[in-house]
Amino acid sequence: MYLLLLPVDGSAEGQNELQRMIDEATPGDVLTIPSGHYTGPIVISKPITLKGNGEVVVQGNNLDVVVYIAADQVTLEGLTIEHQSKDKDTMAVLVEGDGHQLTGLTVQTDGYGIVLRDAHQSEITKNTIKGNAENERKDRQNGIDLFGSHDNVIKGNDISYVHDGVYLERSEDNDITDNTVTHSRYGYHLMFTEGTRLTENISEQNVTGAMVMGTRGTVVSHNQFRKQLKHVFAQGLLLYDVLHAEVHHNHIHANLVGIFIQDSQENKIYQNEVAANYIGVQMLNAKDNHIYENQFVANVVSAQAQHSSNNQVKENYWDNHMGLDLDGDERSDIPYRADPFFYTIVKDTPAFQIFFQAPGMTFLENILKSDTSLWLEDAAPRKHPVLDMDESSQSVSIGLLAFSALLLLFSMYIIYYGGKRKNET
Amino acid sequence: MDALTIMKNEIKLGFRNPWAYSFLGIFTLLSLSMLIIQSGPVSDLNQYTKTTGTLMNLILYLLPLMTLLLGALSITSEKEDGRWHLLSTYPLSSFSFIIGKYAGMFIVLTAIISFGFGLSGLIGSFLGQGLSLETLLWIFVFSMMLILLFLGLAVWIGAASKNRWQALTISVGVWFLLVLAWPILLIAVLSLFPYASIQPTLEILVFFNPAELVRIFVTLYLGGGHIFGPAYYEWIEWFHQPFGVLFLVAVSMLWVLGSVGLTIWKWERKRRHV
Repeated sequence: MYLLLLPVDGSAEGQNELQRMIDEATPGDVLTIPSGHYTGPIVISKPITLKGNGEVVVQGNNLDVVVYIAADQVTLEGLTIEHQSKDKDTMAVLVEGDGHQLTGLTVQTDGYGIVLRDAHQSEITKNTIKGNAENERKDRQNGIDLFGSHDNVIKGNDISYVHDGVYLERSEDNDITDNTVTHSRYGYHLMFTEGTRLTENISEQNVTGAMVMGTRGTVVSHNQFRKQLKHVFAQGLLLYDVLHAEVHHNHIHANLVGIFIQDSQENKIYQNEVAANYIGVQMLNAKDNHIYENQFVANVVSAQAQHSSNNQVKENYWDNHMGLDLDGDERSDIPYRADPFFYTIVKDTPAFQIFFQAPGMTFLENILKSDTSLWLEDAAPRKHPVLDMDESSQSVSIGLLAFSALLLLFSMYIIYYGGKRKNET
Repeated sequence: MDALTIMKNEIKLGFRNPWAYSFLGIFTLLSLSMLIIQSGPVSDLNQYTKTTGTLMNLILYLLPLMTLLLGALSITSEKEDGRWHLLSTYPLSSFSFIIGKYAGMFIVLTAIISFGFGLSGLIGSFLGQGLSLETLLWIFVFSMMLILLFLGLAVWIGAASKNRWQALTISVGVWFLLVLAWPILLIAVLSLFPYASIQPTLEILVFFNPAELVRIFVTLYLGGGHIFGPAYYEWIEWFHQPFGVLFLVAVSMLWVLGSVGLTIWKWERKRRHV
């Protein structure tokens, strides 16, 4: 377990100066670590506070764990932890016990970033965790990883180039808020959790923004899931086998699929802005969900659904819907329906996906209407958007102006040239 | 008399044809719809958006039909009106004649779409909404590709038809087959095939339909390739390589050269057998 290595810059006296300081401290001490390079592994087995004064780097080469917290009430603040390893299943920071505070850490890892195992009531805040960008996604590990850990707060962390940004499994009542995850596989990944609150986070350019699976009572609100595009399975938010979740006020922009809901029941999905995705919402075997007051704007396809007719879908705004409001209640009297035709064909034979948005396909959908009672239906869609769109206002583009003028001049010249009658041939 | 003269003449003839103006009107209306398609928040990662997707769809309905009709009728009318009879007494090769006609009609059609796009672009840039230069450029390239490929088909239909009615019927038939019926036809027929052969067949057939060829590859280079699903992952990646791009350029050129070449051959044969 204790693999001792020489200090990298040779300046630190002794074999492990930092560990010696910790061993000499008494519980409750606040240790201010002078700047410098220290080597791991570091084991903290008493409730103390470690504060970095200046640039404090704890380095580990091919260790299983660089910093191991094995007590309660430990505070780590302002340290840099560098974890280099050929084995991805190793950890920069392993946390056990309760009531910790890890804040302002900078973690560079080839394996896991911060791992919580049966650790409760801890706060993981304002840390920066970066994986190895040169490795493939599958050869990285999770930024923050919780297993069997309850009542923790994960707030304000900045995570990039890892496997999953924040991963929770069999953990209850955790708060994940105000974090940013980019360039990873999944931004936020919840597996079999209860009472997770995922709020005000950002996920950009991952395969999936938030992957929520097998959870109970999750809140997903005020998040921004954007630009999950560069992968064939990319999604903004995925709900799979999810019960009693509340998904609201999220901005789900420019993803391959905005929201994908599969085998999930009794969730409330409302007042989300789902915009500029290739497919706005996709539903498969979803039932008894309440989906209302969402805004579906500028998606290439607004909705695709199969076996999902038993949902309460109402009062959403669908920008591609040709509604008609006869009684002036701002709701269309013509329902919005998502045609399952193409989705069904593709489910059976994925190769036919090549006809996505083919003109013949759209034409066909309009002439072959199957039994609409089995379709996903919004009985009273809104006539006007619910929420204000923060639309990127485009300024007058000189390039556009010039190019358009050029096109127009060219066509005018040709038409004039063609139309004039002198010099007949 | 050479190809250049024929081309100039074709431009003049093209804009005395009332069809050209009605298509100009329809196409301008269509491109003005660019201004009302809500584009929403834009990602800097791709250009494939609702605006480009919808426009490509609309243009695919109209532009191939326009090109086929104008192109085929222009060639057939040369025969029917007897102008070719007159011209063939001059030392004018079938090669120069067809190349000239093709180039002339290409310019006429380009002028038509330029008018539509130019007008909407101008209005759009004053309103400051709706579309970006990149979108307009891509849609313009997309339309030019369609014109290039379908015009080849059009001149061939024109040369093969006996009269205007035949040219009209065949043009509409070809348009219906390639643009509207294509997916359902393939889905119906390929469902009878062994499952494993469906995707390879589709991948090959893409190159035999200019509408699909242009649609799929513009979507791909707009950054929307992943929408075709995991099944096409490697295929899509391959076409993002320089060799893939080169391959596509070659296929497109083969289409144009092949169809125009066949037309010239057909035209020449008729000339000798009149």
